[in-house]
Amino acid sequence: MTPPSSDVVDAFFLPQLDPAELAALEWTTRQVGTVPLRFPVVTPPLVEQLCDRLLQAQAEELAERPVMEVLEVLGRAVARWFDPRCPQRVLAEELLPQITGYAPEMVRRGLKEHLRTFRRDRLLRFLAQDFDNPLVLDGFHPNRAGGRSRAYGPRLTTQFFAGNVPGLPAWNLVCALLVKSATLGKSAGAEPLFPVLFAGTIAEEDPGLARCLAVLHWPGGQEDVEETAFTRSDAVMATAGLRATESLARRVPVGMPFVPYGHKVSFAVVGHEALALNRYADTARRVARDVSQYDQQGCLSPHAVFVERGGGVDPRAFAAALAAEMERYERSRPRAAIGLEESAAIAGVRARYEFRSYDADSGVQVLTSPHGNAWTVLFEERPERFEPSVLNRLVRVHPVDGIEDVVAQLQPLRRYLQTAGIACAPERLDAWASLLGRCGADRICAVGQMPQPAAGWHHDGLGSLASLVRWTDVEGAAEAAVERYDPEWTQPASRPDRSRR
Amino acid sequence: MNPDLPDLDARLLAWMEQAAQRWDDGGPGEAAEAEFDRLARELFADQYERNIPYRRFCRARGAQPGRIPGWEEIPPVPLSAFKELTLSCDPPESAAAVFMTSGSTDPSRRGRNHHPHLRLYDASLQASFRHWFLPDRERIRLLVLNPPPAQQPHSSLAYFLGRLVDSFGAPGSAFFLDEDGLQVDRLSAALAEAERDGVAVGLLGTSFAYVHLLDALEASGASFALPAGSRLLDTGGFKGRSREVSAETLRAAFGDRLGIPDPWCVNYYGMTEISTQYYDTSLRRVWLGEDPGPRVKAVPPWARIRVVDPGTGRPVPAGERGLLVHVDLANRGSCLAVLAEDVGHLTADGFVLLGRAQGSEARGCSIALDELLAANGGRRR
Repeated sequence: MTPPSSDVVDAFFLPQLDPAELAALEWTTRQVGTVPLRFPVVTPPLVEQLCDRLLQAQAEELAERPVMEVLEVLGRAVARWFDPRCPQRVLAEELLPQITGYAPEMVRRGLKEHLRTFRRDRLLRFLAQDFDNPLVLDGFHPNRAGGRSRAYGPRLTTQFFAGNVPGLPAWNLVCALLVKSATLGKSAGAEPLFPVLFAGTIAEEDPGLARCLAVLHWPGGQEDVEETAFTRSDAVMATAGLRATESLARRVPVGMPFVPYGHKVSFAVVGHEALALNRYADTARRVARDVSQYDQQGCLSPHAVFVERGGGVDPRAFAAALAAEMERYERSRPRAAIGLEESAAIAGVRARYEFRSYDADSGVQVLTSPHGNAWTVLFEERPERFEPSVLNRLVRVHPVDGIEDVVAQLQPLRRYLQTAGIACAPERLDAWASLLGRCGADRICAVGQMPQPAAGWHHDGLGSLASLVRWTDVEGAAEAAVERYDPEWTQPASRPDRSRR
Repeated sequence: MNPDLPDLDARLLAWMEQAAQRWDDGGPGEAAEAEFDRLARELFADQYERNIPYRRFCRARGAQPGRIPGWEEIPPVPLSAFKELTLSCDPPESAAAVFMTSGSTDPSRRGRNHHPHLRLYDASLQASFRHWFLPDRERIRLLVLNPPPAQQPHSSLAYFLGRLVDSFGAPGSAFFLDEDGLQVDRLSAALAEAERDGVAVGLLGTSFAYVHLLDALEASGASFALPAGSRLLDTGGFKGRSREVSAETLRAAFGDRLGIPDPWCVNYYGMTEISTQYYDTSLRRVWLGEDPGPRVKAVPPWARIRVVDPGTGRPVPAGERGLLVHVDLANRGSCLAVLAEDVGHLTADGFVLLGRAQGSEARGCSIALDELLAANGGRRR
């Protein structure tokens, strides 16, 4: 472990305020993990002032800027992160493990893999995914109905960032900027630093664009602050738990786009083909990585693995292989220290399954880390129902006879399903995807790639950009009709000058 | 000695009764400590021998009678063991009582504690009640905000309160709860009578039952000034209830509506899975003329509390939060060492109970178990 840093780190991004204005704010310092972070105390007047300036900056810097220009700036800002000497990256790699407790190597690789999603060429995919012609963000372009359409993003979006997985806010910031929205961002209490650092690289690339971003932290649910922000915003985007989302949903003004991300459950399905003698160990390694990455805290992390019978090794042997890979991952990237409640939850589940395993006919086996509670694999042949994991690297393995068995287990959770990591023969991919999609899964990916959604993914089933914009259509008939008012026809008729002919 | 009890049980009973008589609030002396250790290990050996699932549990942890250095190393069973297994030293059908946890209507989902007899259970409950709640008199009129035990044969709470009425109830003692709920009018009449006649009473019940009473009194505007010496015992939390009220708020309301001073309002902590109750020390302290001090729960001579890290099972440093482990010599029929799901920390003269270990809010967008189960209309004990 690196020694805890003693210097106070600024955890805000407010380029809209000059040094005198910043100095006049009230400040507070809070230790997150082992890092002391400095924040301004957020009040309704401060939010009001920031919103006014964000709206002004959006009008000056963003509203009329061509989308491809915004994209180029973002691509260059992201490219800065691929340089190991990039100051923001250096800070992130040093401080985020101290803030979150995640293993440094996991943060380093996780950030790198996540930020690849926003390389210049991938940003084009974000646009292409949601817009047949991305130029609709700049002006009116022909639509299929015979008229022309233009998409307007919000002038200002209030965003609530996630803190469970470092790097996630990049997705939200990029999406907002691509639709030309300024962002007032509330950072998460658990990890408030990444969005600040990310905004910093955008500022180095294009200070004007960066004036459209503000990142600060206030305690979630501070209603006066949030109301002030909502009345000045055109949209609200939030990554939050169920209670916080419900609270926000009650308070976001009716008619304003509210894009909530959260409380999702992911899972993996391993077909018998992936259990061939020359494949199963590799499959287990991939699944172990999906479970272990960010300690299973992301909505992309699998809670359970359904393993098909009839492969080269049986599901019980696969569970043992998975356990071995969980241990291997733990050795190189140990799980973060966890609190009493989280520890108690793991102990409780382990005990419950251990007692059931005493009955030889129960079809239950408990595989655990040799010491402590770093990881747990629960093999369970006949689950009563899909039981969400208590997280922190605890995963259930259920044998199945085919995808239909999986579907039956998933039914009750359909509103909450997200990523399905799969491993099967090519011929079965379509059938599986159709069934899993019908169950509610909105992302089908390969096992081993669950933590890295591809650029442009319909995040939680919605268009990441499309859900933010509103459309203005110019009807085709109007274009024809206005021909009637062509000045040539409407100006007083003058006699043709024959002499010119 | 009791010839009708097995030898070990008779010796445990005799020792508990002795220990209760020599009860030192300052904690056990060296000799008492050694005797506790000896009896605990002997009881462990017996339970290891006769409680088959428990033996398996101990073996998985490499713990065997004769090989453990002291009672601290007796493996505590988690509460879920009482649900998933039949943790009984004797044939379950021969039990004098089977107490079950509340909650699910499916009996296989409820924790069950088997008692071959209730002699130790009774000795435990009587000694603690007398020591912490009734140090000043032999009997008191007990008004119980709970059903009589006959209505709830598998409730350890109903048995406990019923046994207290048998042992310590003065004439006029009665139960004020049935299938239709709290009998507010009858109870109000009993309170008014006690106030009028100057008869001190002891109220017994769950915290939640008192909330009902206080709501009813507030609605009718009634309040009482119960005679000096009146006292109140409450237990338990509000799990799964629509309202949560802090202990401080409750005690303030007991003062306002019933006229019972704060230190005379005593909370105790008990569980179906064990056979001992832990009381606030406030009443005894003020009766002894001492300052009531901060709210602390006392551990009787025949039990010990450890505070452990659930990740490692090892004790946490003194004063830090952890899960409570009970080592209870009165818990003869199943396992004397039980790992609770309650969080607390040790103090110089007892422990502070901080509440249940709730699933902590998941970080960010992943889902907390509770949230999903709630959304799913699912079960949880």
